Amino acid sequence: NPYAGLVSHLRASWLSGKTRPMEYRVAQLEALGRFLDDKKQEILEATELDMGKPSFEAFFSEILLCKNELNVTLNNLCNWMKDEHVDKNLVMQLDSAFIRKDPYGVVLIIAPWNYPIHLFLVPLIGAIAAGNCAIIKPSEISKNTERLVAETLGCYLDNDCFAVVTGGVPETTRLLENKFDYIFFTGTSCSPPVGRIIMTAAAKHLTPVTLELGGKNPCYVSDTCDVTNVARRVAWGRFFNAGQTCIAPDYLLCTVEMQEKLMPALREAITEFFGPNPRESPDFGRIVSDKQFKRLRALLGSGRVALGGQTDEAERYIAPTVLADVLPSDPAMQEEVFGPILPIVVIANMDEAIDFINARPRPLAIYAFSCDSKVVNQVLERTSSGGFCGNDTLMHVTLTSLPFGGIGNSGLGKYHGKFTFDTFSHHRGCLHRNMGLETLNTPRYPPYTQQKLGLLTSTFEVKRRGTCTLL
Amino acid sequence: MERMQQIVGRARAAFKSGRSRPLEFRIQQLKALERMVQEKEKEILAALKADLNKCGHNAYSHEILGVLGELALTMEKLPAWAAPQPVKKNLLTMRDEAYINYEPLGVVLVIGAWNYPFVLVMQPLIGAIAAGNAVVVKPSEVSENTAQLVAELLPQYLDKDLYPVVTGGVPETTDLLTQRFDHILYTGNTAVGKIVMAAAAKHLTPVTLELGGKSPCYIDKDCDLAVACRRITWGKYMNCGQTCIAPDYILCDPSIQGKVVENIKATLKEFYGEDVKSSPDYERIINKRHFTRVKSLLEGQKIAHGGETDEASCFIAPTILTDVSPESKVMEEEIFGPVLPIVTVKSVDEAIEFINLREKPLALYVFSNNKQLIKRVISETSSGGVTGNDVIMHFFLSTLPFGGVGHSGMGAYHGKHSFETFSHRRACLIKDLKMESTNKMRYPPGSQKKVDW
Repeated sequence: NPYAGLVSHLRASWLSGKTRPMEYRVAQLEALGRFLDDKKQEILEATELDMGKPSFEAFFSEILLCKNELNVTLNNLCNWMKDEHVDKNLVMQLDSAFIRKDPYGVVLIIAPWNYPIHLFLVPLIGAIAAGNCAIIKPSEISKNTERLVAETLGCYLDNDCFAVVTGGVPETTRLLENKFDYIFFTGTSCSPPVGRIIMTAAAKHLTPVTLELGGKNPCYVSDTCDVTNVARRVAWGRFFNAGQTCIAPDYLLCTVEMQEKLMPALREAITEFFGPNPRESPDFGRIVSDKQFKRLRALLGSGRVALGGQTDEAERYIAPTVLADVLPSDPAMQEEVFGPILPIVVIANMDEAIDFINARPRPLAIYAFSCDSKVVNQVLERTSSGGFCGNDTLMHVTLTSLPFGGIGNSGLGKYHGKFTFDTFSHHRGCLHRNMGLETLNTPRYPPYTQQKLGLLTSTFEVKRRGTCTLL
Repeated sequence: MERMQQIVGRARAAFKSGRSRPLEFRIQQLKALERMVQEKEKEILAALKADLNKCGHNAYSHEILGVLGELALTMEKLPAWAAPQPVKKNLLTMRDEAYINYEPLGVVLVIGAWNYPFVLVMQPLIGAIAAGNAVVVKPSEVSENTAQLVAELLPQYLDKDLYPVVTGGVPETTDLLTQRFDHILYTGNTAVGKIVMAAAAKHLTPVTLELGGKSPCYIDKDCDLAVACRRITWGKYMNCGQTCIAPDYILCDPSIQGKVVENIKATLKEFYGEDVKSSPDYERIINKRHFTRVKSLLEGQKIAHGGETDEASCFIAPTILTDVSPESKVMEEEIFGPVLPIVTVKSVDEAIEFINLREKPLALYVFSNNKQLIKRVISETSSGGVTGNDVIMHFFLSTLPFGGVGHSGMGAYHGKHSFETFSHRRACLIKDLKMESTNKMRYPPGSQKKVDW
């Protein structure tokens, strides 16, 4: 077990109690902030090397959003850490009843390659805030970022309590042999079914998990909508990071008329964003690896290429592409696209769209566009997904007061903002009773009598208000 | 296998029909459950007596009172719990609607345990129904009378397709676990907990595992021993020690060990009289297998009180063991019986170290007049829950989440926590299709100007 030494070192640090005081946690979080400030340029460069991530995007997701989470946490940590006093019943009026937020211990954070800093750093913020030690396992696929994190994070964080482990599948498998007190995984749910593998490994130690997976996020566009704005918002969400976003609108559902209307609007939006030749735009990314590039290129045979479709293997460039008249049986509809390709599936009406969505595994996000708020609400109410955004894409995850997570195949658990802190804390129910007033306890002790039972019932019973008690 | 597929399939079809979602429906089902508990009280008490020799008072106060309370609380609060929860917005989302929508998960599986066989299926069932789910109920086959009764009664009062009861033992449960559920709540032991989670992993099903462990009970020298020992005696020997949150063992200074034994002895006499066996208020071990298991824990131990057993009636007398070695068998596994080992420690530091060397327990108890000491023990240890200066009682406050940590479990329930456990909190952001100008700054082409803003 090659990682046993590392894990037990962290566990010893954990048992020493050093991660528990608020001052320690604040110091580590502030150090993370300095990491983001000092290494900003290196982060932009590494992510550009890894997947041609435009620096505007990298700044937004890897720096700005992370700093927001950091500041929300630092601003509120004191309150979040406090014991949460709860309402008491009659019998416990003189006692102290509260929920204590205990750290779990040594946690493992496994991050993917598409937002390689953000997706380990935001969970790490919560893990540190909650008082845990952590092992961070960045993705080997975004290798420049992996190297940056492995080489520099240790200069900012306490090496006794936080460590970075690098490597691929074999290393991760060995790492998972160890017992962790929490495992936070962001990645794929499909092939390979890594989410299931992680949870099965966690089951051996009864380790609780959060799994942030993915799926095909449907985007329904109704006939009554502002086509220009829809096209912009959908294009933005689809082509951000060259489509390699777990919450990107995966495919569009609309009528054949709307498909006709959307096409020129989408073309205009793409041109507005990336110019006449997106390959030359500094604002359009590349595919992360040859394997992913080949996979995506094979999807271009679905439906017909209405916009884009150009590729360049050497650069791993795939143009912002829209596929029209895609069939449910087409390759593009069999797996999460995770690239700059937007398939449009034609349906007759909203009901058909809802049935289409409900016939498939529950996705991480569902999008619905309509000028008619009733339509948006219908889609929301009659479907199920991790999250939902009406009349826009992606934006719901930038609001830290909303929980971010999946359901069913798209994941379990949630985070962002306070939810991350809560994810990495054990909520311990505590009742601190009075040693006196022992006579009040008599009804519960044997020998049992009808009178005692009556007393117990009257003190413990919760009566339903608003019911007629006259009878 | 096919039978399970059909049952779960029917429940899923019933859930998909949407009828479990309206609040009126959920409250109507909860009301029916309430009627069931009230109308069939005699039958429920009889089943508990047959399974565990539980007397009416205990059965009522442990299993029925709590269920009625939970039902009343849930019916009262459901509209508030189920309402969409608006969240704080930022500058960019000021004009939008942002809220958390509470939605059912789908088809939930509740697996009960045999020690409190009624309340341990009912309480999760209440929360799962309240959250709008379909629920498959699998009571423990070990408490067979209660299992049989639940299987008979639930379909008489509740929607048959939405809330089926499945009976059977290990083979049936294993079959059931191959089906896909949207949440599984399991109450039982650690070993089976791992099996349940591994089965759940195949479908990425979230789980709540209410397991067990050895719940330590530290008695400080500075405390009212008579009161402490009375409370400990009550919690330890109720249900013949077969309680997941019973104080499993005592940690105390050797100088008070004798007094502790004396006080517990005196309390036992007060509770059960001179001849425990003939007290109507003292239960029995559930079956021969557990009887043999608990009895074997007495081997080689110093029995300060009790120790009498009678296999024919699965009777084990309330027993106290003194000067117990940490390496002995009785200190290895959860006792789950009326045997109370006392392990001596020289200080609270030693007690804390002792506790932390072991798996995290479901409950932790500490008795002291010194508030600071109690706070210290809580802060320097970890456990599912805590009661200071008493035992068991944190279970009865539904505003406290009830659950374990580490080997004692994951997740929590009771009261609102049940509702949240069985709900999906869906993040919702509803924007306007207009006001496009505010979006412009996020669109390419990117420029330093935009970044700086």
